[in-house]
Amino acid sequence: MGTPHLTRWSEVDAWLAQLRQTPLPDVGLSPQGANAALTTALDALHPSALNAVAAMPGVPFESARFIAAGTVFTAPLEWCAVLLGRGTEVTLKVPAAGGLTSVAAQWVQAARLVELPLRITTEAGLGDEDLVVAMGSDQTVARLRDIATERPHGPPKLLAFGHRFSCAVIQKSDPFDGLARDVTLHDTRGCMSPVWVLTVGAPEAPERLAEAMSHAQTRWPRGDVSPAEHASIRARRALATVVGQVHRGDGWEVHVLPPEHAPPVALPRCVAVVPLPSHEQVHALLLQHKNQLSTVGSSSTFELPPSVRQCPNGQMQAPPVRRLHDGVDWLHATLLSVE
Amino acid sequence: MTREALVQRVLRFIDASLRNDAPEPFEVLALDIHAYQRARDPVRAALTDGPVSHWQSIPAIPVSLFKDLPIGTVDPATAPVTFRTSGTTGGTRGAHHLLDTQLYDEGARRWHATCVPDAPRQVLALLHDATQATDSSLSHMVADFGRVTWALTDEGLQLARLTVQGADAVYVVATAFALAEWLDHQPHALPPGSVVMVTGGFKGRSVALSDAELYAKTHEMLRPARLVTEYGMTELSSQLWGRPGQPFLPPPWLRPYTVDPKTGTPTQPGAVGQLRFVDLCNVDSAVTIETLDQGMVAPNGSVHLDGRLQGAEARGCSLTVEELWERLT
Repeated sequence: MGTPHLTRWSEVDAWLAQLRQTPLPDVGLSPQGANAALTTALDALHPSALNAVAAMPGVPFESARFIAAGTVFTAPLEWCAVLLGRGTEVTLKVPAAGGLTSVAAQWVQAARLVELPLRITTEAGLGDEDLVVAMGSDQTVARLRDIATERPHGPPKLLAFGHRFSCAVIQKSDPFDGLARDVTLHDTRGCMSPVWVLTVGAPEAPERLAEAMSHAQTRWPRGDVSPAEHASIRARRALATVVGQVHRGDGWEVHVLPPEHAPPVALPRCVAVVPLPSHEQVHALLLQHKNQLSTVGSSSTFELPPSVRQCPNGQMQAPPVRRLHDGVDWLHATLLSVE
Repeated sequence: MTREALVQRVLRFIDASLRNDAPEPFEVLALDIHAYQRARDPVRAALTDGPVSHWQSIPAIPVSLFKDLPIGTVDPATAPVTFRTSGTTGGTRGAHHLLDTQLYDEGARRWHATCVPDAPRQVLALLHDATQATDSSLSHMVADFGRVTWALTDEGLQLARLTVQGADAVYVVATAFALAEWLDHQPHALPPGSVVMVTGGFKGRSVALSDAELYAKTHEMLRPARLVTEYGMTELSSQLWGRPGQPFLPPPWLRPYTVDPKTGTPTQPGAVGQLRFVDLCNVDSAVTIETLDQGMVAPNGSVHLDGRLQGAEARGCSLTVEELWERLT
């Protein structure tokens, strides 16, 4: 029997409370968008949710490394909160520069104030930690899996999450404001952002979604867009002009496209509406992409693998702490052993 | 205006411009080609909103649309010539359909002769054989360079075919990727007077050399008399030529300009932006195309190429612009 581990749940509560009050640096989103994203992430880590995690029996890892992607700056929060609360020392690997790097520095500073063992690094690789959680492209994941077995002091437990995309399903009479918020948060980047809106029996959907996107833009303006993203938005706009429809405003676009012309690419505040003739066709398209789907937002449920999270529209970007993450029971997977 | 009439006008333009004679105005011909295409290509018609009176106002077809839609005036089902982008496994390849290669061949031959007048006629091509890779515009162009030994097959680079016999100068034609791979095998120096042509980048190679590193290594190992660079793409019929460290020179029938990637509006001359090309030889397809590249067009029309537009790199777990572009090229 090992030494009983020291949990730090009250320190995590204090840490999260501090983060709520700390002004965010530039993360590439608008200030309003960044604050909305942070609030959404912190709201999921409410005391009852973390208390339920704290009550889970198990032995935590001594150390963990979280390799973060640059697209969703809040993604590491829940993982760090859970790991730190359980008593694990956490290293957050961030890009050399950028919004995530700046905000991660704030997290570390706040963690020091409450004596939480959180540090950041920009060094690539797997480090020395016992557990490695990585989020990124499929290429990143493949590279990490390759080098994991070659680590000199033995491979870590590796939880690696590659490319995923999400989509929403809209049927007649479904509301749009929640969907627009799902599209808007994180400027449509990130695996839980709906890049497709599949519609059935809702010919008014493009116009109504356009109206909701316009309102969302007023409330949470779009942030930075790279030249490459701008060019891709215009190229897809050209495609939609030829084969579909375009609705657009300052900072947002809705492209109506047939499914064969709508690859699931994340373009900031630029969503593809794909009208389909039936619920069955929607289901068939979802099944076709089941291995790449993260989240499906809909007022009804579909027969899909448990790896695909299904929820109402408006909640796609607010996943509960207790869930499967791309099919992985992450709360148990981040324990060294379960008692 | 018939296709044949336009083709003849472009041929006269090519000839006259290279003799420093006064061809008809570029803009007049470009606008007539646009009007011809607008009347016959539903894609161009859909993207043209109202009359077009300036060459930079001709709607530019994004290169990605060549993958998604049939572009141009030639029926894809019966197109006598189709060049395709290289593509990745499982991805759809962009297609450039032509009725014939008359303009392509004339423009390529004349401008290549102008820019590389000392090109040896014995060619070592680190490319697929043009008679087998019939959809490769690069192989098609190189086939006209002289007596060609093709050294790339589906099994990879055939090093034995790259063994140079004799002392006659050779013309090595290669993509950057293939050239780098050949250099990894420590080839011998080429005969005096040899020329090396490099085109393209390092798509798919896990360890990329910078341009400067590649050129330095080429000079060190192969010792060519001259190294030339070529910039072209499947969606264009014309090519630009240059030398390491120098901008690319377009032929008189190919006019580049840059736009703001956010708005698509032309930038001020000399400003960095997204590259577009007006190619008079693209009579069958799209007279103006929009690339995914960034650069600057100098007052003399030469192109300083920066590379891909910034911000395409993969940053996370969603399918990003970079991954989408990798499926296009």
